Amino acid sequence: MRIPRYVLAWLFVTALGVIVAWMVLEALGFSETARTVPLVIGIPTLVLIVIQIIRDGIGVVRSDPTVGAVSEIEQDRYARAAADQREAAATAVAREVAADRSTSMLGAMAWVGALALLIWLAGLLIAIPVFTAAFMKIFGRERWTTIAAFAVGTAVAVYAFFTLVLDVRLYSGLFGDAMPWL
Amino acid sequence: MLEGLSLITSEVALYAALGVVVGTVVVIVPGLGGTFALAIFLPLVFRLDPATGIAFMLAVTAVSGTGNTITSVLFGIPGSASGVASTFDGYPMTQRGEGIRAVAAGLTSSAIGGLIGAIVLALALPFVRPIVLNFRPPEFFALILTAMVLMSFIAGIDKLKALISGGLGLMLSFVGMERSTGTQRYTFGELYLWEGVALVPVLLGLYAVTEMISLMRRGGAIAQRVPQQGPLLQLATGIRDTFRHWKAVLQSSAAGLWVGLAPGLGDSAGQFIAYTQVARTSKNRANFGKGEIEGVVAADAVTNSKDGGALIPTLAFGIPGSSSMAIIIAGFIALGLQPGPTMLTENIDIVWMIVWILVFANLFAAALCMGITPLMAKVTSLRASLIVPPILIACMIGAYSANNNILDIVVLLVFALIGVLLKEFGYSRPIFLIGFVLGALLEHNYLLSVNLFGADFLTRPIVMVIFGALILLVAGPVVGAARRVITRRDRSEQDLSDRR
Repeated sequence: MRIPRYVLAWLFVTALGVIVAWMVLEALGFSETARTVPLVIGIPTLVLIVIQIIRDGIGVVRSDPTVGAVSEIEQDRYARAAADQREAAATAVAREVAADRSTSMLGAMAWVGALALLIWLAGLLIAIPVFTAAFMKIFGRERWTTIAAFAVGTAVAVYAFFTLVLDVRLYSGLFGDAMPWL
Repeated sequence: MLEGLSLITSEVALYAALGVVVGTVVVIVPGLGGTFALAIFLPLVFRLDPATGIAFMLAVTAVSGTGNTITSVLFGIPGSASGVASTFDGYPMTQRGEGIRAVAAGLTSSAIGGLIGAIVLALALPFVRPIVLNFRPPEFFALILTAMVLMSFIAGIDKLKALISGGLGLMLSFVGMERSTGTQRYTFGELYLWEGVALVPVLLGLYAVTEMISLMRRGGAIAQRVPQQGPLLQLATGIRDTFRHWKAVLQSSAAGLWVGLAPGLGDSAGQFIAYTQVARTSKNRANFGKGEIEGVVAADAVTNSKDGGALIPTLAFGIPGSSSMAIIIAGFIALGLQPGPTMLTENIDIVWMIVWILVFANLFAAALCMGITPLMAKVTSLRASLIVPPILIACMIGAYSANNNILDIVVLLVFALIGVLLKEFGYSRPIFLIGFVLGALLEHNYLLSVNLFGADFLTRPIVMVIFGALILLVAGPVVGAARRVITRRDRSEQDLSDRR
């Protein structure tokens, strides 16, 4: 079952309220100097969040889909749809390809998480070509020649700029620490 | 003033040009700002003669804002906190296919801002001491708070959500050790959080990674429309836009000068204050944040003008206004020069040379960046599968290399998620970030004010003027909205009674 947007908006602001309330309560235990500004900022912020919870809550009770405002992402979509209409003839093929090569929010977050995990495990110089190749093949269905050029090119560029020019040590990952010859 | 020119030999000019190129290239990489560029090349400076070393350092510093414009506008990736405001209007313009125009306007305004900074530096050195000394912690506190509130009241943003976003950003800035008492706040006992949440991963997560997630969800390219104008025409239009909005350039440059002049206020605060000020007074304020060219001009004019302002206390009093100026002072001392009052008497020729180098570096950097912009702009029309991997990788490296700590990548992921949720539910990422950047400064100045003046700090004349202006500016829209509600209610009651 898909949770309506206005319920998600209400859940989000409620979660913010819980976090800020915890921060305010926690601040009460700080020394006087350390708690003054967090309380001065935290209490009004909490009040504003409560007002927003009520605003969004009214929308939930009325099942009003306009509550939670139109997100920037939706605005992007509207803008794109409008632009697409104007450029329909010129971009028909491109639109089909773009629609085909997109993913859900969870899918996009998973790609970002996968890159971070790869870096943590294998280090930057291994993660860069592996992620680039996997993303270009699975997400973009690119040709292997393009993938090879991008994957190797990105890794070489990063190594040349950071290690050779700037003399910055790149993270070598858990495997790299365990196997220093890598 | 001409005596400064005589110091610019071919070697000095060559190293200044090298500084411009190095500064521009380094700041294009996310997370590596002008301070980083200065720090890594400082050992090189020690081997040069004073004039050449100073020319190199100043050229690197002077262009750090210029290179930032390209990535902020074209990819929504601010190289550092001082480039964040450029993304507010620049990136939406890129999505509309007007990226080159926005970059050209940003580069021109930052070059003009830099020239204004250099001229004011030349003219102001003898007169600034009393002004600088009158601005103390209470005035800074009032200025920062005013900038925060005004930013939330910019038209076009849900004001309640904007205020909540600012409050959340401020609360986040309190994570870490409170310096005057050593109290740990919200650190969960983690050593990593003692210094607070690192800025670079936060801004890369909130902006760059969030934008890449949006791009993956949407598919296609960053530029969602085919440009209506060719690259050269867009460059020309962008340059013309800057002169069309000359008031915004002057307003923003003046704010940059002031922020540079005031020690400790910082680069990012300057950009936000200038942007807010121009947004408040502009006729097009409803379009700010949605791709308004005046917003790009306002955000970028400040980035280089602040250097002229920051050099005034640095040279005249030996007080660095920012971290990059602190490195410059270290470089000066290593080269055998002592910044301070003697600089204006014994080494005045060096001071004039600095003014000339600022002029040269700003013009050269703007020309260099304009040259590479059409090429960089082509990247914005590449499909997501080609653009996402290098940008995500650059963000991860940028986040990691800020402190060489893998936990910074975790912070980047957390703030990417927060950025997506804020964007999804209509909260303001810019104001959240402004709160986060200015929070520590706000608290520091508040505590200093209370320690120095007690509650009386609120009655200092400049503080009262600033807060008075804030009340007037905030009360205007509130009273207007209340009037509209009353009028609407009167009308509906009238309609009801008419129907009866």
